[in-house]
Amino acid sequence: MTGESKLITFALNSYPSWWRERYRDEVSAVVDGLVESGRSPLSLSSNLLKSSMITRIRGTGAPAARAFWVHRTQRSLLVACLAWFTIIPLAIAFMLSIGENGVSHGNTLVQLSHAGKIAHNFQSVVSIVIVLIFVFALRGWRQLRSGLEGQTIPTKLFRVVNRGAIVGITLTIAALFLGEHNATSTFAEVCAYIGLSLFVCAWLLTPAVISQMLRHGDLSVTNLRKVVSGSTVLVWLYALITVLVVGSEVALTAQPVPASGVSYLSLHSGLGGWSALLCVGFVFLTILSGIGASVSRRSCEKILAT
Amino acid sequence: MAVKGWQRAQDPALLVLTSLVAGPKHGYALIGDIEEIAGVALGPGTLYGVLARLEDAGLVQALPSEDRRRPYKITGAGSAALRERLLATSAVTSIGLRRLGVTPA
Repeated sequence: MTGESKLITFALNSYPSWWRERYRDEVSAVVDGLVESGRSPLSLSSNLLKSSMITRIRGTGAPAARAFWVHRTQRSLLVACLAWFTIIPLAIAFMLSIGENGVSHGNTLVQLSHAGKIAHNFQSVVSIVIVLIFVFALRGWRQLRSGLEGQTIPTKLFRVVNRGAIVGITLTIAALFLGEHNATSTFAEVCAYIGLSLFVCAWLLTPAVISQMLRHGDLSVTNLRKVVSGSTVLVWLYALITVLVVGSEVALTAQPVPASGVSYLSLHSGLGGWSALLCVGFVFLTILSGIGASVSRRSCEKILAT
Repeated sequence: MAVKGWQRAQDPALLVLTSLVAGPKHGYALIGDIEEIAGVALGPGTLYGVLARLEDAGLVQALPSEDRRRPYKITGAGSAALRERLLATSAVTSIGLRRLGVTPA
């Protein structure tokens, strides 16, 4: 098998299973004919890959069964919500990485440059958006739980995660109070480490809990629609955060270098070269969650139509 | 260049339905026919994306086949939808041509 035919096979395999069952043989015959007539296998593969992505997003040619669309909505909702678990730590890392430094000569007034002020303002808005995301995510979580109330779903993992998060937060808060006294500072440090570790573990396991709840629960269409709307709002908030973070990083780099001997105050990012990677991460996660939300909305509409 | 861009903007669904009006065709024959009538080289992914959508909407129907090449035919609803679409397009086309001062052949 040549590299080109491997690429075509890969492109054909990238289609969803329902599509492959129905169209794979036919398309394969058409591709064979087109390759024989001189069409470039590379352009055929890229066309197939592009179409397979569109097919996955739109669900073209998928079975009309309601159960299929409910399952599809649940899986896409999971993709839309997964970004939340990554965006929050990324946004916090971004906020913690920005600091101010300056050099003062005499009593001259020390000021931020115009670009520095923009970066500073953007950073403030990011913190507001993070709070908004938390509020919407908690609301979505409550909707999800109330929608599944009274149903038999595996709750062992949920209990572990829930208790882990509560104990983690309690230990972290306790460490803050204990840390104020020198006699207990080592104990406070241990508490803080254990508390934060528990919280991070609970945070990382939450997508698995949501996944379990969605897979094993039977959400009514009304509740499903509410969760879909919530995830759409979250995507818009991700997009806003992404614009702010990218804008802030651009403003940080656009700050003028002050002349020697002049007093100045400038913002700096502790991430250095990693800032570009952070921006790429934000853009990627926004696109991913956007696709998830869009697919879930379309699937939900299909459920209503069936 | 402008002609190429215009051709790319043509609706593949319209081209597929127009091609099927002449009679049932399988995928490869459809691609060849569309290239001949409109000068548009559809990719297999694009073609089957359109066929799946049209089949879902009940505008085309797959016919039974013994080999890998399954032919498709336009349905009554497909013909009606195509007629409606072409009439709407032709009204705009004739106005556009008149305004350009071109007399249709």
